[in-house]
Amino acid sequence: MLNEEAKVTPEATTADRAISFASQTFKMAHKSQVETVEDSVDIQDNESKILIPYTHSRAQVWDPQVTDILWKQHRITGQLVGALPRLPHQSALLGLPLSLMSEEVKLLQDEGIGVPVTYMEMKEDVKEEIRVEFQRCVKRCQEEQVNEAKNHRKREIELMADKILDGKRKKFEERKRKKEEGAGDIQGGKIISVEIKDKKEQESVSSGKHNQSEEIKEIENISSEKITPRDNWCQETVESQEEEYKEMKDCTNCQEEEGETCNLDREKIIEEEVAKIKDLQENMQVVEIFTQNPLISWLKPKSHPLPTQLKYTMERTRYAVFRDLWHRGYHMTQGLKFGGDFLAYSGDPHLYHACFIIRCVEDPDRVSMRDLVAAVRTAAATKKTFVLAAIDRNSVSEDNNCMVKYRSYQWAYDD
Amino acid sequence: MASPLFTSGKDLLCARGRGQSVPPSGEKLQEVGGSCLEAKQLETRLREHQELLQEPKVARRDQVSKGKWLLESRMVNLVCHTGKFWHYMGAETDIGRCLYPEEALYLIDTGELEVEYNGIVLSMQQAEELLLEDSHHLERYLVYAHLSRTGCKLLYHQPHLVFTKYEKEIRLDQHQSNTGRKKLKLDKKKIVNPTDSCTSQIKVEDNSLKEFYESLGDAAKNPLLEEREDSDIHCDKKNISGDPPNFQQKKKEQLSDYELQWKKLLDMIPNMYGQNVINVDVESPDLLPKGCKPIKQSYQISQLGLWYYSIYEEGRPESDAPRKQRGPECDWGQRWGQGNNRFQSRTRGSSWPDPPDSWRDDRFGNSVSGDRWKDTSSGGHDRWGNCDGDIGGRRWGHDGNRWEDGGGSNDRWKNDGGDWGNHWKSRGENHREADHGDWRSQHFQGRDRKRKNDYWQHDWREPDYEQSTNHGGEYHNQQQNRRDRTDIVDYDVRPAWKRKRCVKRRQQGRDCYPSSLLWVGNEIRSWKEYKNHAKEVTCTKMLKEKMRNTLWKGTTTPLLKPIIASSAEAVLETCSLGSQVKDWAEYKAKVPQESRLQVHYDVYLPTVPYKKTKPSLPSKRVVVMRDGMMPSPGQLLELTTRFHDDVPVVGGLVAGGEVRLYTLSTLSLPPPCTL
Repeated sequence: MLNEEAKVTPEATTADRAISFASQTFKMAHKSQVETVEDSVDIQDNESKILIPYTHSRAQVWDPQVTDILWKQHRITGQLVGALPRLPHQSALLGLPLSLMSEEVKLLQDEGIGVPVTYMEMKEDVKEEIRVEFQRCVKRCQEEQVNEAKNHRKREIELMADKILDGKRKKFEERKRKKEEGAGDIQGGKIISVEIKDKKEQESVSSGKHNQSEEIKEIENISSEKITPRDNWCQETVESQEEEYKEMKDCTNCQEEEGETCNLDREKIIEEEVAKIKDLQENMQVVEIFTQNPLISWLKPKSHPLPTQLKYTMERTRYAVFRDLWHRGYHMTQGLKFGGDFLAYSGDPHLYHACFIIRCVEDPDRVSMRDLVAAVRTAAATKKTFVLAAIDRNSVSEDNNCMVKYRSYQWAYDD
Repeated sequence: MASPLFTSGKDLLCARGRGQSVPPSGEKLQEVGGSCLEAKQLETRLREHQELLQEPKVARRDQVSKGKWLLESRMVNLVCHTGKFWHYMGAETDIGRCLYPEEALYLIDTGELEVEYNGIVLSMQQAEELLLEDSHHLERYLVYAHLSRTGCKLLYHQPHLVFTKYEKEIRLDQHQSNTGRKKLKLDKKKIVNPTDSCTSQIKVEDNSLKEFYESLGDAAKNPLLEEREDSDIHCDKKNISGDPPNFQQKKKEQLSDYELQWKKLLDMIPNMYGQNVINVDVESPDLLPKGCKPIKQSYQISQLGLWYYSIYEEGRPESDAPRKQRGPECDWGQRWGQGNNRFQSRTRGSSWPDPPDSWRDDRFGNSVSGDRWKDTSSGGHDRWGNCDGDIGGRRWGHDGNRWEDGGGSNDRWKNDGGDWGNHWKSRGENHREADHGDWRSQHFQGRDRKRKNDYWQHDWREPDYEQSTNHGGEYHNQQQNRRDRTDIVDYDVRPAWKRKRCVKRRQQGRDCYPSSLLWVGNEIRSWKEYKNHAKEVTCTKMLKEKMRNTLWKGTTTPLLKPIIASSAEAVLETCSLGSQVKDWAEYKAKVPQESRLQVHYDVYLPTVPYKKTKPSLPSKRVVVMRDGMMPSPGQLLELTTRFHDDVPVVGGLVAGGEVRLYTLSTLSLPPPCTL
């Protein structure tokens, strides 16, 4: 652990007096493997490895399962940059893809965990077989939705069957009661017309000559007159009236057949209701907007060549520091928000705060004292420790093994 | 083959009814305790987060907009759209409503848009590959998405909303805001690439500005337009055209044989190589007229084209010219070609039958000798003098020796064809007036720019021209030969379109300046500038008159002119001796051209109302840095001072997918308190 930390006293008048540091160099022999990269990786031989897709020279993980593996098993945190499916218009909690730092990708590759790849076919014209497969899947999905909607409605009817049965019985009894109360020559069919159209009631009651078939015709005429293709609401209303009318007609037929007794069956009611279920309309169907390419498995990944040797000293330092701290068990993330290169977490960033702000430098002795004071003050305000990290030049061997040395600084308060 | 990653219909319907809330994120712990409770907490959080990520992105079919990706124009054409995003996104084009790549990507990400390409609906992963061009474009999108999620409205930078002080004075800003947006041209044959790096700052939104400049006529020029004209030539190969609407209308007109032949020749000019093409090197800058800046160092000019120019140059419609010549940055090679036309028209008698190949020999080797050559050249010089009245005396005398070499010079013209135009061009009025005054007074008396058309008829059609030359008989013979030829185009007859246009032009008063007006080679932005310029020219003329003209003879000329010697301070200021650095901060923050930043987006905060048809000034301007580079204070300050409004500039930085925004705000310190 970085247990020896420099103490900075705010009362000091000069930077030299104010800042004193104790450096501790950790010399752990490990391979930095700065220059290790295979030029071409045979994807077939790396089936067990995680494929890390590159999009415009940026590593982005689109698979939620891979994200889970990286988080839980490999302490690779990354940064979510997409919109959360459930709540896309907010920035507090983001969704896929998971953007990875170049150090993270290189580490995964060096440790044999992952392989950076590109999908060149995504930029090209879509193959016919992929197009056919896509259309097939979309169609299948639509059919599944229609079937699922039917099944869902059926389950609802089954759950509600008793209530429906009760309702129908009540209606029947009501009709029967009215029939008994009214004139003997008034038939049940007229009651039906009362419910459908109030005006018809008076006419039918006054005349008493309409029979059921005539009324059906009248309703049909009214329906055909009123329905216009532009008026959907009217269409729905008339449809509902027709349905109600048919329902009543069925009941009436039932009544006629069975006399004055109500003999409604639960199963029969369910059958009738299920038969009335319509297909899920197309505009009511749900479409999936894919984050990951759904046919990614149909594409051939090509290995994305990483640079065989990191060009700049700073890049090498960053990678060496990242790798060293990762091996020590820290979770590492981007540290720009606190003015550093990395943030080191002692636990998973989902639950724990960062404990170190790591700044990588080529030579820690050449850091300006003013910058140091500012950085340490920022770290102190955020309950973190500021750490300068650099490659120990004396330890660089011929095979590019190197050791990293750290200097930590802490603001000292006078009690 | 693995099964596709399609969510089942059942799960999709279930997802439709899911809740819209996110489980609250609990507080984080400072240190790792290692207890079982912490382990459970961590497991729960990871599981919850994972479940959120695994949820499918769904939308009801009738609530999703649909579009098609146009690969060539790099925009998404909206087939049907729902929602309110159109109020602050997209652009009207001639093929309908279209979205820019960032906008389309963001809408895909938020589940509001389906983009189809090649028969399949694009996933977010595929859309990023297709719609975005490079890694910096991806960074720009991340900044766009980051700000959009917070409720800001982002638009591509609108340069037509940036006005100088003068443009505000003449109320150009109001004109711009009232004009509204014009439709982009996305037709397959003429595609404008809005995300092209070379034209990203010159958006099509400035069509109205362009129209405004066109309405002002030739007196004013639109700098943006000029840049685009230059780029049009390069963009033709890519089927990218920035032609103004008027030009496109002209293209649709029925073209006469003359015009067809003419256009054919013009098209050949930049592409024709071989013996008919000559190279013309531009003179060194100190020999060019004041205020002139050549675009290239050398020009390749088709002799055939020049020959044809010589016939119909005067009536040449401006829109068909390969490059428009306006202001100081005119194409000197072409202007030289125009100047020569007069010369060619004088000497056509000898050169007409075989114009392209024998042109050089006939004109410079055989028939052109002594006075004849000088006579004919005067026409071109006269025109040259009219075009630019500020040709310095020093330059005029530069090639005098070479010019007066007689036969030797002729050989030189022949051998060094690429250079002769410049030598000829650099001749001055002194030479012309001294040697050819008589000839000129006989044939070109009273000729000026406003009588251009009459003059054309005079020297082309009238027989007195024939009498004035030494080659009258030869001219007749060649005329006869010419008539016998079975060319498609009869060059004898002045084309009807030319006559019509001349009449129209005279009626409109375009290109027919009163003689009192001064020809100015520079861009004039106000009457004040014009007056100053006129005054300066008048003073110069006065100095050249009578005895005072001795001042201007020789290689040493006066440094100061009366116009700039109004006061000692003015003289010092002109000599930059007494100038003071007024803005020290600006001076310190000088940034090299290559590291100057470019504004990418205009941002309207959620609280600021935005109207697409009449956009107000943005709340912020965003620059997205490349490769995670931090913007320096100098860069931000330079960018802020580039605009004349108080809109702050924000530098956006993407590091590891994380977006950080930096800005520089000026702070005025409060006055010290006095007790």
